[in-house]
Amino acid sequence: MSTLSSRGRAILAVLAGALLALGVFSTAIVSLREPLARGDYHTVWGLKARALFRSGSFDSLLRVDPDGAFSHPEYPPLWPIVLAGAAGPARRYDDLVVAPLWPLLALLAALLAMRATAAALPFRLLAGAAVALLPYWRRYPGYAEALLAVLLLAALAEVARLDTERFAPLRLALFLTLAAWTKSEGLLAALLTAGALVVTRRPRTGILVGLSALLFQATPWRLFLALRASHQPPTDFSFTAFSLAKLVAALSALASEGASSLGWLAGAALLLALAPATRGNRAGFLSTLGVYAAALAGSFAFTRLDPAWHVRWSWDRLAFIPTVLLLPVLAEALSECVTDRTLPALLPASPAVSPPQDSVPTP
Amino acid sequence: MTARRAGALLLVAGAFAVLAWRAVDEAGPVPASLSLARKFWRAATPTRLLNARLFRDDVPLGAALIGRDRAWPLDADVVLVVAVGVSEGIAEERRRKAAFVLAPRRVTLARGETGPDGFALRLAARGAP
Repeated sequence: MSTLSSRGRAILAVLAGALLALGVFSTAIVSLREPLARGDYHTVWGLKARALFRSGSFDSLLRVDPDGAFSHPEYPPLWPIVLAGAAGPARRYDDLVVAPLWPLLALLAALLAMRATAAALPFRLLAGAAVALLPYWRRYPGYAEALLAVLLLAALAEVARLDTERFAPLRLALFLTLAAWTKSEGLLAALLTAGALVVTRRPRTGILVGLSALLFQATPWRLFLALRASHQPPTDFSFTAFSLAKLVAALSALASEGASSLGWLAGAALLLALAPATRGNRAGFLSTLGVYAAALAGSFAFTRLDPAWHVRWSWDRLAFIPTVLLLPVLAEALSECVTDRTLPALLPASPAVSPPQDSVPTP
Repeated sequence: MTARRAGALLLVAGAFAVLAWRAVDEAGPVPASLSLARKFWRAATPTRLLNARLFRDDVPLGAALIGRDRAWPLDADVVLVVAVGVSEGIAEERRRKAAFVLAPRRVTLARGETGPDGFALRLAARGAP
């Protein structure tokens, strides 16, 4: 850190640490002061966790709402499994007893964001603080995106270690497969990452990630649904529901809903514009993240619901994941601006191929 | 200090100020939150459930569901009967609350005669669709 004195570095680290603590503390206050009970927790995640815990059977995930009127039987079950597991020691399912999972996930996400940031400690702490301070943690206690964010941040941290740590490719595949078990967006992230790895000349890792997600998540879960559901539960999205009009309506709703966040988007773009080396190092990741975000927005063209309503209902939770994944890169950009030092390449060159330094992916 | 460095620091300081202010604001007054937390953590599971935000506006339904949950077997399904005049939205909302408390039982909705609180609960006939 050539242009930041050791005292300046220490002050920045203390400030960042305090902000991180504030993020986790405020999340803990909100989630521990009353039982989890909001929105999708009570209609989807908590409902399934209660059913699973009290019956001990995966069939109960389908039984509580076989028509798929509200509980989304097709959603993967990892988050309800984790909730039910957390209730285990209490020997009863209690929505307050499982609540401490929430600040723990916020803390874990912050620590993993630090691990995924290739910069000095104060900037890594700032990445963690930014993750912990995101409003999502206080608005949606009990929802599944938190676990998804943790798993995708864990995967992102492995990307920089692909060439230096023997088991990093396996850990990457594991985290992305677990992400696919958490939400459909996790499967999308796994497949996009696999594609990006292949494109950036890491075919073995790409195939490992893609096959792991398909063989160990997509296939068994689809099989379970096909064999155990009395009939295929309806889904919010379907390829047959595609229409351009829906896409236009959704994008229009997205523009209207997201207008208040334009300042954040502009700020992130400005910070990246000020940091050309970070942009270069992370070009592959930023491209993959852009495709991921575009795919999430584009998915509304396939909605079976009113697209404007669907966007209003879910856009901020969908945006949470790309935001969380972008924050380590923004911390690196800040580090470059403040220290005037170019970051080391994100990935060391693979010995087998010419160096695709900017490589990789992982939305 | 270069303009780039100053600009980046200013930008990030502003962003963190907003995030931190929102975090403090959303967490509410800490003493009030701690007092609420103390009450919930000292209560038993049924009391917690009844006082959770789920039943804040529908205490009779919460109390009835907790009672039935204790009494009825887990493998029995349940019918929630709501009055004919109750709107579709409210009826569905009550069904979801019932499904949550009574999980893993399946809860179906029916219209008909109800008690003074606008709902009735009964076990579904075995093998009913």
